[in-house]
Order: sequence, then C-alpha cells, then structure tokens
Amino acid sequence: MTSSSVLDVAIVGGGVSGVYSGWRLLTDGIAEADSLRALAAQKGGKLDITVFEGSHRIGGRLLSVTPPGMPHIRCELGGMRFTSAQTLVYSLVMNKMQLATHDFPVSEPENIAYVRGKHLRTQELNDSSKIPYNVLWSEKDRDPSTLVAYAVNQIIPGYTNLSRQQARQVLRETVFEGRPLYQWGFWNLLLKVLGQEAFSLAEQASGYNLLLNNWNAADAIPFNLDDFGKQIQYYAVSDGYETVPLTLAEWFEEAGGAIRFGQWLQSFDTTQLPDGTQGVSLKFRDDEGREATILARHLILAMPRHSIERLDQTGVVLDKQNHHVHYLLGAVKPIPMFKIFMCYPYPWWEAVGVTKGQSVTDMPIRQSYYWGVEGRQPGADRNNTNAVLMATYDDGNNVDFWAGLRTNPQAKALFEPLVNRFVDPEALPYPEWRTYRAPRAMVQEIHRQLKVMHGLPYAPEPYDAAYRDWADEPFGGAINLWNIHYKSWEVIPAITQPEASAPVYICGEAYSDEQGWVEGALSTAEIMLSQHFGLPQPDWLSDT
Amino acid sequence: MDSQVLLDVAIIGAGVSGLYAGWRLLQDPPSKLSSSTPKGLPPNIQVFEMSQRIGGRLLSVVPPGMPHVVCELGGMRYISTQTLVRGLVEDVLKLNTHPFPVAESNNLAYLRGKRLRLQELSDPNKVPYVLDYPERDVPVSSLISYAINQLIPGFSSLTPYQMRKTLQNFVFDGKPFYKQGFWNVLLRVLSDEAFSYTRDAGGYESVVHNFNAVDMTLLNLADFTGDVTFHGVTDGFESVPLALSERFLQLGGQLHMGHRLQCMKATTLEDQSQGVALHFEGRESPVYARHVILAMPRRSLELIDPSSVGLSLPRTKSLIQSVQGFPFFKMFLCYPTPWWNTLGIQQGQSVTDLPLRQCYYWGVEGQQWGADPKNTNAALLASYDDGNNVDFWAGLQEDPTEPRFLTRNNPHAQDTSLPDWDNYSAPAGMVDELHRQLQAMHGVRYVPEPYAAAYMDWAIDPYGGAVNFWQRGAKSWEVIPAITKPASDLPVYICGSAYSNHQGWVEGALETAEYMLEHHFGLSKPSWAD
Repeated sequence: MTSSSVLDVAIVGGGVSGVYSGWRLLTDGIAEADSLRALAAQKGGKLDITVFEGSHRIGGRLLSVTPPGMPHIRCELGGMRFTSAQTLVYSLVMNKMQLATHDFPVSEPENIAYVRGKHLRTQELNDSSKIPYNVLWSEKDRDPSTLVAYAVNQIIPGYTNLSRQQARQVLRETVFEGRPLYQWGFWNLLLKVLGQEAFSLAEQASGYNLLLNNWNAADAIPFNLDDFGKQIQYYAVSDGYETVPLTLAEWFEEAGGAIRFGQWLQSFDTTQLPDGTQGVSLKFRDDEGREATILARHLILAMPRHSIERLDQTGVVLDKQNHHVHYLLGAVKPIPMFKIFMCYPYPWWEAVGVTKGQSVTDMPIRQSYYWGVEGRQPGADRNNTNAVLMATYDDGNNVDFWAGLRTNPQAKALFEPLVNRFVDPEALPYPEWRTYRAPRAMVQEIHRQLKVMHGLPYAPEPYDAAYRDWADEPFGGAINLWNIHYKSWEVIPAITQPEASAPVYICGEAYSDEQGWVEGALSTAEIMLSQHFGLPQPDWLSDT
Repeated sequence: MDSQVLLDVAIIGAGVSGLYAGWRLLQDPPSKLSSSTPKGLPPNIQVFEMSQRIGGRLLSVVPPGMPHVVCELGGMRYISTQTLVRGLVEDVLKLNTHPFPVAESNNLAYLRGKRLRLQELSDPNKVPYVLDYPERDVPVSSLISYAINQLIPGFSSLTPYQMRKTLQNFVFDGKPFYKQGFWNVLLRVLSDEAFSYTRDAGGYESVVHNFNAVDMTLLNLADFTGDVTFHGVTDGFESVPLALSERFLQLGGQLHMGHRLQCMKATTLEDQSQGVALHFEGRESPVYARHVILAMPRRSLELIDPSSVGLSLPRTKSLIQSVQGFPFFKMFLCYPTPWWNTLGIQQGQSVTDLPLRQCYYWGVEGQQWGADPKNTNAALLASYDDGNNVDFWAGLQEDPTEPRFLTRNNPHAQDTSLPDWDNYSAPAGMVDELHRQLQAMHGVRYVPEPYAAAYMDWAIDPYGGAVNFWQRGAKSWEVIPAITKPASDLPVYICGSAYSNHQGWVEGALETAEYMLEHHFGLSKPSWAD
C-alpha cells in the first residue's frame, strides 16, 4: 500500500456534523490551519478526506420529505427548526448559505390544550379557574410555560435574568440541599419546589415528557430556559432542513472531498502508517457484506452514543477496558422520539379556529403542529386545499404506545393511500415519502385521537401518512440527554478526543450543550476543529 | 467439589422454583433418575446459587426496634385462587398466614391534588377525572373488567380457563389479541380520563407499558374471579424457600452458595450418555450433570455465556426474549408511632399520583402477638412503584458517595445495626424525599421523622426487573410449555415465574416448575395442588 492511499481524514457519519467538519477542513482548514496547510503542501495543496455513510442518504436525523399532492410543502420527519439565538446554525443558514427561511410558529393563543378531558385554548391556561389542575395558591394563574422558570428562580434567585454565560457559570457552582446541581435529576429537583399538580401541568402542556426523564438538572435547566423571556424567533428552512447537510455535502465535494455510501464501520484501531507515522485503520462492511480496510491519519466519528456502541468494542479507544472512554460515552442517554405526518384533503381543524403552530394534549399523541396548506404556499395551485398535519410528535413513554401499533414494514398492514384529486397516480411514486409509510392501525388511532382532541365528531379520512421513529437503528434515539452526575462542561471538550494516544475524534449533537439541535452538532464540530486541527472561527459567524 | 462426581440434576438458582423443583425430585424420585442411582440411595441433586442467600425475589427482613414485624422487600402475598402456592404454604409447609389487607374504605386516594377516602371513589362527582357517562357508575377497580367486557361480552363471568381460551383465539379489529398492546386496546374502549383514573388509582404503571393484551388481561382479571382474599406469610414469605431448602437438604440434596454459572458445554459421560459440563466463575473444574434446571428469569439467563449448550439455538433465544423484565421498587420506613392512625387509617393500601404511587400501612410492633404492647414503633411500605416512577427514585440513588440513611436511636431498638436490614439501607436523600411525599399525600402538618429505612430496586443484575411481562406478539401458551425444555434433544430445562401465567407471583414459579416436573421428569401432580 502506498502512502497516497492513506486518507488524511476519514469521517464516519453523513449527518450535519460529519459533512460540516469535512467542508470546514477542506476549505478553511487548508487555508488557515498551520498543520493542515503543511500536510496539504506535501501533496500539491490538497487533502484526502472521505465521508463514509452507512445508509444511502446524507442528512442523518435531518430528513425532509414532500408529501403527495402537496408539491410546495416539505415535511420534517427529523429536526425541524432553529432559533435566532443559535449563532452557528443561524449564521450558516442565513449568512453563508443564504437559504430561504420562514417563521416557524409554535404557541398561538387560539390553539388547543386538551388535557384531563377538558378543551382549553392556549390563552386560557393561565386562568386557574379554568384549568383542570389543582395547583397550589402560589402557583395560581401562571402560564404553564413559565412554571419551570418560576421553579428554577426559587432554587437560583434571579436565574432568568442572567446572561447565557453567567447562567452556565452559576449552574456549575450552585449547590442545592447539599448537592451540586449536576448531581440532581431534573424531575427530583422540580418536585422540591413545585406541587405535583403544577409539575403535571408544566409537563402535559409542554407536549413533551422530557421533564419526566430524570436527567441532569445542570443541563436540563438551560435546555428549558436559555431562551426564556428573550426575543427569540424560530425559523425553518423553506426547502427542508435537509438542504443544510445536502449543501454542505455539495461544497465538501466541490472542495475535493469524497462521499461513500453503504459503508458501515465495523471496528477501528490505531496503526502505524506506511510512512512510519501513527494513524488509524478502519474496517468497513458494505451492503453486500464485503469487507474493506481503510487507513487514515485522523478519524472523526460524527455519530451519537448508540451508533458508536454498535461498533466492535475493540481497539485502543473502544476496548471495554478503556474505562475513561466508556465513562465519557456513558455520559448521555438516547431518548426515543417519534413523528408522524398525515395528509388531509382540507384543513378540517380550521373549523375550530386553529390554523398554525402547536396544540397539546395528555393523550398519547401529546402534540400536533398545523403544518401547512398547499394552496397557500407561494407558487402553488390556489384550488389545492390539501393540508398536512404533524399529527404527533412525542417522546419517552408514549413512544411505547405507538410501538404497539407498528407492524413489520413488509406486512400489508401498512396504510394504503387514498385517492386524492391533486395526486396524479401516473406521476412519481414519491419514493422518499413512501420509504416512511406508516402502519394502518397507527394512522387510524392517531386520526381517532385527533378528533377527540379537537372535539370534532367528524374529520375527513387522511389520504396519506409518513412516520419516523428515531429510536430505530442505527440512531438509538432522536436526541440524547445528559445523565445525572456528569459534568457536561468537562465531558464536552474531553470527548472530542476521548483517548489522548489516538487521533480519533468525536462530534455531534449527542455530547453538546444544545442536545437535539443542529446547533449542538455544529458547536461540538467547532470545538473539535479548533482544539485538534487548529481551525479559527468561521468568518461568516455573526453575533446574533 | 470433587470433579469426578456426576450429578443427576444440577439446579441453578435458589429461588422458589429451583428449591421447589429440587425438593419435589427428591421427595418423589422419578424412575428416570433412579435408574442411574445405586439402589436405596436418592438421586444426586444439587442446587447452585450465585449469591449468599436463599430466596431470590422473596426477601423478608426484620426492622430494627420491631422484632415481631417482618417487612417484605420482594414478593409479599398470594391470592386465595392461586392453588399451588396456597396448598404448599397452608397444607404442606403448614406456615402461619394472615389476611393481607388491601383496599380499606377509610384509606386515601390522593389524586390530582385532591384527597379522597377510598369509599368516596364511588361518587363520580367527587372524583377528579372527567368520565364518560357509562364509566361514571363503574367502580375504579372494575374499569379494566368493564373495558374487556365491551370487547367480549360476558367475559368476567367466564372461568379462568375459559378466559384464557377465549383470549387466545380472540381477534380484535382484524388483529389477533396477543399481537396487541394492552394500553392500545384499553384506549379503544375507555376514555382517556377513565384510563388515567385506572392507572393512577390502581397504583401501578404497568398498564401504560403496553405489554401483551392477552396476558395483561388475564393478569388483571383471571386470578380475581369469585370471592378473592389476599394472604401474607406471618414469618415472612422468604420462609417458603427456606422451608423448601430445609426439606431438600433433609432428603439428601446439597446446596452451594456463591456459585455463579458462566457457561454450559455438552459432554459425553462415562456411560456414553449425554450430559452437561457446568463451568462456575472462579472454579477450575466443571461440574458434570445429566440434567440441568435453570430456575431463573430472562436477565439471569442472558448473563450466562450465550454460546452455552441449551441456550445457543436461535429458537431458544427467541423463547427467552418473549418476556421483558420490568422494574419495581420498594422502600420501607420505620416510625416511632403509627402517625397515620390520626387519619383513621389502620391497614391496607393508599394510592397517589405522586412518584411514591402507593403505600401500605404495614404493621405496629405493639399490636403483634407476643410483642411488648408499649412498643409503638410502626412500619410503612412507604413506596411500591414501577415503570417510569422508578426513574424518579433512581435519580436519588445512583451516586455511591451519597450518604446512607443510618438507623437512628429509638427507645425500642437496642441495637441500631441489624446486618440483614442494613444490607438494604437507603440513601439519605431518598428517605427525605419519600418522607416529604408521604406528608403531602396524607395532608398532615407534623409527622415524626423515620428512624430506619430499607429499600430494594429489583432492576439490578442478576434479576433485571422485579417481574417479567409477556411481549406483544408472544403466544405465552406456546412459549410456557416449550421453554421448560427449549431443545428437545438436550437435558436443559427452564422454570420460574418469568415464563408463566402468573408473572410476578410465587404461583407462576410453582406452576412452571410443576409443568417441567410432570412433563419432563414424569412426576405426577401432587395431591395438595387442587
């Protein structure tokens, strides 16, 4: 093997953090990082960087699909939005890529909270005489979205007035009842200061079960409150969030990078390269079961915890005896989340006065987003009334409810699309959408719960549906959350190179302080690029 | 142990099913075993236990300062309809038993911030759940029965056998019932509020864990047909496996503690017959046996080397995976007085939607037979919870550096250190939080501090859960007989409550052991089992 067949960097994982790292290394890295420039100089100014992806698509947990009969709408089966406070992703999308975006509505006063068998409008939730929760006197008439802030301000007076940086420092230092905050489970902590009923209200009206996941309080507090009381805007990428990794992949290839699909990493270890320096040897298996060994000077694992744990736990980094690495890997826990989109011939929910944003319930569907109506999109056929609903978006224990209605995807119990006058049966069979077909029983049950939630005896049948459960392999969860007893601020920098003797790096959303967000993927990639490859901050970064 | 010795039967696991199987085989040696034994001698049967104690998930401890009270950190009762355990306890072992009170009309249901006496739950206008019109007249304990009767009219008047047969063949909404999740099914016939009410007032989360609808229906309804009573064993439920082990030893059996099975290999014995070589952790020479009984739940089976003979076939693996271990958590608190008496509560269960979920007023020392009547110390099964709530308590127990709650001085506790009790000592933060929730639940301003605490979370290895439940899609009625001898040509057997019709009950452990003994060792049904 000649030294030219040694990759300079092998990146495993074609999600955001993987293609982003590849692009940054090949462009700003060669231009501005001394070690990379020197390495490239020996080979005519180029670096050999390849991204290896197990599946046949780029994007990881960003997955945008176009529903049949609604050519101007993109449904996000994965990540769906970013905020104006998320500097990296905001600058990348707005300044560098200049992608078309639109506002992403969430809380609308007229939307529904159907909890404990009672229909309320979101704006009524701060009226204790109307809500079916027996909250304490001190908790009365508080909007449920402020209850967590109210609770945390009791533990850390003035917390919500702190700047982001001050807040991070305070969270590391705060000791509550003799224990530092990172030793507290968030659920345990909240029940110290909130009544059980206020806690149930906060959890049920949020649409998420995350509060019940008893995760690290020092991370859960900023996760819930970083944006509290600030003028934060939510945005979505109009052509689909997937456009971000696709664009990065395109730029990466234009800069000379290569992408190989269908390559599943099996194992890796450090090795001596033909030129005598230390590198990494990687064993891949492709879809046909053929194995291949690749040599690289550096290896970036751009994947979450579960994907890393699927690899052979051998080699100097992942060997089971390497307790330090396994301690770091064990710092987070994958959380299942589940999304389903359902297409209807018209937006029947508008009959009860809801048009956009989120409605919530304590039924297993937990939350719905009124996603869009085709005829109202720019450039669309005005007569096309087709409308799509993100019918359920839920996490934690509720995923088990829907798991009971999942069937073998090969079975004919999948939902059969109905005829719709705006879906041309001769046209494309919507291969992307159809990859994520939902079981019939699941669609029927969600449809039933939607009617109950909206208090409507009648709603037209859905004509199509698509869903994704991110607990499926190889992800193991939609997002990851910090376990109790870990100091995330120490694990985050440490895990970017978990074993000092090996040129192996880890990045991605899982081990970040913006878990579940693209911002987390980019921020850990940035820490890795700066600490281990010497890259400066990107020049398109603006302070939002 | 002499490596030359060949056992007729090696039993792994000294819980109820293992000791029961050993005792039955020695008491009534089947011809299958005695053929290889010299005349007049019992077959050579030995039990191997990984830990240093007998009893498995039956664990009875005496709290400090209450020598006449026994706290059950594991299984705690049986039902009058469970014929095997009842016959064994009452007719064979002749142990003292007592009625085990559960629902007492004066006890509390603290739900959604509202305190109700259990007798008030029958008044739909007082209940803080918005029930549908027909649900309003159904007692909360009957809502599951009401739901199933809508799907199968007349279901609750069937015999348990008829119930089983009916459910096995039942198709709901075009899909066999055993392929459906219990949560999925209940939400089709109950309102969301009635469902929440059932879960909250029932005290258990397992209904929302969507296990096999056939078996969850039976678990909720089959044992409760007719007039049903609950019973506790007065000296502790652990005295059942202890009595079985005594009888087993008297009949010539042997018991080895601290033996952790690592691997089993097929071997040809000296007489050319087929046998199994058992390799135990830290021991050089294997133990040879003609038959091996694995008396353990799923997680324990999975801790054995998966390439072991008898476990390595894909079919065996899928049988083993047909159930799922489920966490349960129990904690006892000891108080200097039964402070709950001021609320008019004496015994039985109270429920809440707080993470403690349910408590049992366990007992007052001075009221026990033979006890000092002036000793007012009282024990509370302060939390008994499962599923997601276990995660709440896990947040208060994970850190090994967390200080433990040490037994405090109490006028009646001469010795504040009881090794059996202290083995299960709880973190101080957990005790504080539980005490706080008990106070909130009972709505009393002053409660004396607890002086002692013990807890057990059965999700730890090697148990992997307090109980096991059937997964969706499993036909339990096919798995139960099949797994007792998973490979027809290998002398390896599996028994225990995990793969039974009474998961989580001693009855299940005995039922599967009995099936194995009758079908694979030729024993006949014992006379006391009817």
